[in-house]
Amino acid sequence: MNRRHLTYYIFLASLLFSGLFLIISQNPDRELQMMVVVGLSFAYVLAGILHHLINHDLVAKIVIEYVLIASLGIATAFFVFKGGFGF
Amino acid sequence: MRDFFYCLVLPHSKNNHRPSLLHHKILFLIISFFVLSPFFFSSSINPLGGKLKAYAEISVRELLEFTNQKRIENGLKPLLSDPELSEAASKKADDMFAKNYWAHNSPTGATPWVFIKESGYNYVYAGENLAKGFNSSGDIVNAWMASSTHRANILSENYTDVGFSVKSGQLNGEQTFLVVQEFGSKSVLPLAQKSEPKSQNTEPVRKVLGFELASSFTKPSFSGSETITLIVILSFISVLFIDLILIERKKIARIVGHNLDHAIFLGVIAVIIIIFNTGSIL
Repeated sequence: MNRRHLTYYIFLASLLFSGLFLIISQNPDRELQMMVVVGLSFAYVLAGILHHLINHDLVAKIVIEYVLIASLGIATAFFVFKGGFGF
Repeated sequence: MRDFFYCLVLPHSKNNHRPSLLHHKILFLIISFFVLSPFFFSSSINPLGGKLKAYAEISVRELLEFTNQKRIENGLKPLLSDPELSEAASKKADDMFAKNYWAHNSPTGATPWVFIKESGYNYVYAGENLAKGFNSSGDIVNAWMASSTHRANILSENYTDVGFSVKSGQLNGEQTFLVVQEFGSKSVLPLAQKSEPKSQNTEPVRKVLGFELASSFTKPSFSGSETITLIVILSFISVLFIDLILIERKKIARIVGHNLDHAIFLGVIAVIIIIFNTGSIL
């Protein structure tokens, strides 16, 4: 792992753990926590795009992948937030 | 079937060296499923929304049974179920859903005593314990017993009566259920101290031991939906790591995002879902 990658992973870990800390501090306000999840997912997509842009390997396929993984995060959190299947 | 499973989780020439589970179309289908199913299931199964089973597993009878069990274990007399206190608990739960708050005092300043008084219970001692987000009666009583102030309410000699309410509804946008436990006593002094002189104070003593405590959280209790969600997320994390290792070994060049990024992100989401399932008491 080169220095640029390492810096990116430290930044990403800091970003995600800050979000996690924010979510814990907002417990049990689920509505606010859900908003933090959405914000965190947007930040994750932006961080990924920026990283690939700096590495000169950004293509539409990668952007879609980051958006889909972030959407999966939001969708699963939303599913639990809304009560899931009802059981 | 075996080939399908391999293609789903392993990078192979048949799936363009990327597990099918990570293909955009499959990801889109899974996302759509998670977004749409709460609307479908909540409207078709339960008009109140989710947590139907969890709601059904909490009963007033069990809450009374477990509370009294703890009192008996500690050498105290069991509490009697009081219809007026139950009515006060029910009104308090309705008020919390209607005014959208999670606190002992309502946003309009109404204390728990207002509901107890309105129900017609003329208390001398009164107390209140609250819980939300739990899946069983036993978990709720155990959570209260683990908190010193709530425990003090349950094990107080000052109370002779108790009333419960278990209600489901929307609170802060979340489909949840509330448990309200109201304690009370109409006697001036506890039975154990009846030989002592009576207090001259005519004002009722208002005592809520759980009142000063900020929200505290207990171990998460998962329902079926949450377990399924966590399994899906952990499956994705596993597939991302398998893909990372195999592609690294085979030295195959691909235009994809970083698997490690996605795995860390989904790991954080899994932790958030666990936090979502942490019941809270007040």
